[in-house]
Amino acid sequence: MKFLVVDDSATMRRIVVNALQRIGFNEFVEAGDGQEALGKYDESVKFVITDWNMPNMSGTEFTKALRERPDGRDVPVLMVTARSVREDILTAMEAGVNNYVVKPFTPQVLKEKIDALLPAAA
Amino acid sequence: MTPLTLDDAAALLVQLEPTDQEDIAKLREALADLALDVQVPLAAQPLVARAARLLGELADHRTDDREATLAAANVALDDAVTAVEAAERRAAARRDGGEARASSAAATTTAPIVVPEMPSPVAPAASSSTPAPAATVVDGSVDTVPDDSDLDLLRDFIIESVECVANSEAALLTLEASPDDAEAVNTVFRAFHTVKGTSAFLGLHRMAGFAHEAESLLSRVRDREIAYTSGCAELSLRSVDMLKAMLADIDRALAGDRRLVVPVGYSALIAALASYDPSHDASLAASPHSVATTSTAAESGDDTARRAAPAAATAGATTGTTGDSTVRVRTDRLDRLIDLIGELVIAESMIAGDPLVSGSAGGVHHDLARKVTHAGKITRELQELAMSMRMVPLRTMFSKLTRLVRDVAIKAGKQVEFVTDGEDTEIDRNMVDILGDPLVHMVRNAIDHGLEAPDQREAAGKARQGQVRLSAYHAGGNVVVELRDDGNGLDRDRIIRKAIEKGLIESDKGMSDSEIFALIFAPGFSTADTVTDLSGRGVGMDVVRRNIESIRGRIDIASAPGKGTTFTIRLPLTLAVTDGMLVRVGTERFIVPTVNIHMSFRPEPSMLSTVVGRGEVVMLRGEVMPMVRLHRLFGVADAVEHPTDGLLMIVGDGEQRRTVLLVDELLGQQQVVAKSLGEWLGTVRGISGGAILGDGRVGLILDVGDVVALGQSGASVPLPAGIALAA
Repeated sequence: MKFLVVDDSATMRRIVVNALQRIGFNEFVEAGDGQEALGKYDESVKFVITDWNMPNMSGTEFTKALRERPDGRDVPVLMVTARSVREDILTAMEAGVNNYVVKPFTPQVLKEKIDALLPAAA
Repeated sequence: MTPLTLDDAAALLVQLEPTDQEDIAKLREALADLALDVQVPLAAQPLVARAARLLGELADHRTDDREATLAAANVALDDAVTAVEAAERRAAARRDGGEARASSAAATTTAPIVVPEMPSPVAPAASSSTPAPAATVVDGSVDTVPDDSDLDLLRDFIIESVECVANSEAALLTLEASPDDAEAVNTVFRAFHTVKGTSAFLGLHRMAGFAHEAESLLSRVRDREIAYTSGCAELSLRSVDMLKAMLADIDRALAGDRRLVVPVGYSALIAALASYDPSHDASLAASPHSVATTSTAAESGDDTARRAAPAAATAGATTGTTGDSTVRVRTDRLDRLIDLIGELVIAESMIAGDPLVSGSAGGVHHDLARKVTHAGKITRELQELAMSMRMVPLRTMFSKLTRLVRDVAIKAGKQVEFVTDGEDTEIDRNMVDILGDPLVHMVRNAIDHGLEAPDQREAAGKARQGQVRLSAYHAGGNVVVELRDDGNGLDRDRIIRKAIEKGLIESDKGMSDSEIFALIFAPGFSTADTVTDLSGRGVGMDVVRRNIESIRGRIDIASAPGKGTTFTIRLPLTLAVTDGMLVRVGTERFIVPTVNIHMSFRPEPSMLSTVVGRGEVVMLRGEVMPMVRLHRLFGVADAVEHPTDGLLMIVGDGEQRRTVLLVDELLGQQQVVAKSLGEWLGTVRGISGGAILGDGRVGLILDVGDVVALGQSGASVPLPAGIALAA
């Protein structure tokens, strides 16, 4: 299963990818901001993990744009965030984010989040 | 706890009045949970979230039109129900088509109705998600790099964070000039934010804790809760410094004992960040922002210069800053690699120059010659690549100076706009440190002495804010760094008075402006009327010149009264290789750096004369230049005595003081790998270094500036015997 990992920090991308590898995934596309992510997304991507605060195009802006694309309506989007302020989360979800995970997370927590979203993706 | 379905929620919501504060709050919590419920189809999620957010606005009194907000929430929830039903139908259709569907009970999904103070919808992931109790840490106390940390990841983290911090420093300085620059605030915020998020993963809890506090301050600015006042600026800059110190500490710890030391001032800064109250620096806030920073991208004007720059520079320049993967290499290894490649280039040229390959026998070994040519081509490519590896952009140095300008301007009471240009210009890493000190000094000078006080400027019909412009570009195989101010210019008369007073000159008779300006580079010269703690201590400009010349660069001054001063530093692209002209003087061979050579010619007897007080001179097209006989200067035997039998070479260490050198003959242009003479003999006057030549013997590289100075003094500095032996 192919993941699109979006984060402006290369270190964070590596952390996410490492965690994904540890829980058994091994196909990844990476992008440094929302704009780049929109370019790299296609139907082969089955799961999106995006940071929130990024230059050029934030995670919420990216998700919103993704949801407007016919091929991006149904892919699960998990947002990585540093603070779990409910209003922020709801704003992100309104933009189309399906769930979120708070930094720092363990691979196990990430796995739970992914598993929870997978059956919902038809 | 009462289970609640989406349908129930919709039904409940319809009945609510804008004043039903308590029920609104309860329903909002339930909806927030529903939004995150995995059973809710994706299509409905955003709508549920929207409804929850709108109810939140009502619950927290963040809306003026309660009526409309409630209505909007109702619409959102109705749409959500519709979306769920549509999803159900689609799922059912798929099921009929024989396709199994894992879950479809969305519309009847339940969620508990909860009390308002329920924790966030999903419990924070790891136990360590709350920042470490930073304020209780004692400065200087010791911690260790987490044991299980992935070292590569840590190193990547440091590289990335250092860059992040540098960016935020630049952004902070932009904020000084325009406190409302939202993008700049966001850049700084993001830097702290990224460092915080990543460091928490790496187990660097102290750093995460600190970044958290710094981020909080910036988020208050971002959310316009507080203004970006000078007090806030000070704290932000101190935070940047603290992060830098902590990053440097991790870097050091990684290389050594893995023990992290809390930097001095850590706790105090955390406390200051946490308790920051803008009203306490109201007095500071009223003061005008004294520094503005602008940076223009590479202008089209130096495009040609860029094109002219050797491949070594351009190859490096295309690397850019976008997320390339990097490998850290110890600089001593890199230096060794470049050294070895230098040796390889020479060894290669020895093979290529061998009579068996190139000489009369070349025809016989045609195949071999072809192979050697091929190897030579690869060697040169390898050399160019190796050079580019040591090239770094000037950006970091420029942003350090930006910070310096700010501090100096405040201390000196000047208003300064600092413009930088060409910060992507690359320079040999080994030159960066040597160039750094002179630039710091010159920038200080430009602000402290160069620019007038605001009132004075106004009186002179200038803008109150002075401009200091630092630019860098490639030109003709050199890196040029230019520092220009629009201040009062150098005071020619005062320099003359002072130089006479200090016994540097007897009078200014026959001296050009540039020669007079160059006096400020003399040791012990200072023009400042008042000695401040910023500059004007009488040491400085001589050190500036010495530093620049030590990396085979030169510095020139241009100045116009009332208009300002421009310092131009020209540096070789790299220290590893010197482009030189190999000349013979008697039994000795010297390499004259090409950068210093203006022309060479065989003189007519009529060009030569002796002037009382100036010694031997050469006249060429009306210009009178002193002549230095290299064989006399260095005590070399068997050299050409009469200039008409040899060749004269016009050299200069700047545009001005041109001198003619007498040599026996030119042996050809050559790139050499310069080695410090220390490896053989220590310092020798007039010689900057040695190089192994194509035939394996040693050639001496002339220090033209020193030779010119020696020649004028009429001194003689015989070469130590060892050099002659080695050569």
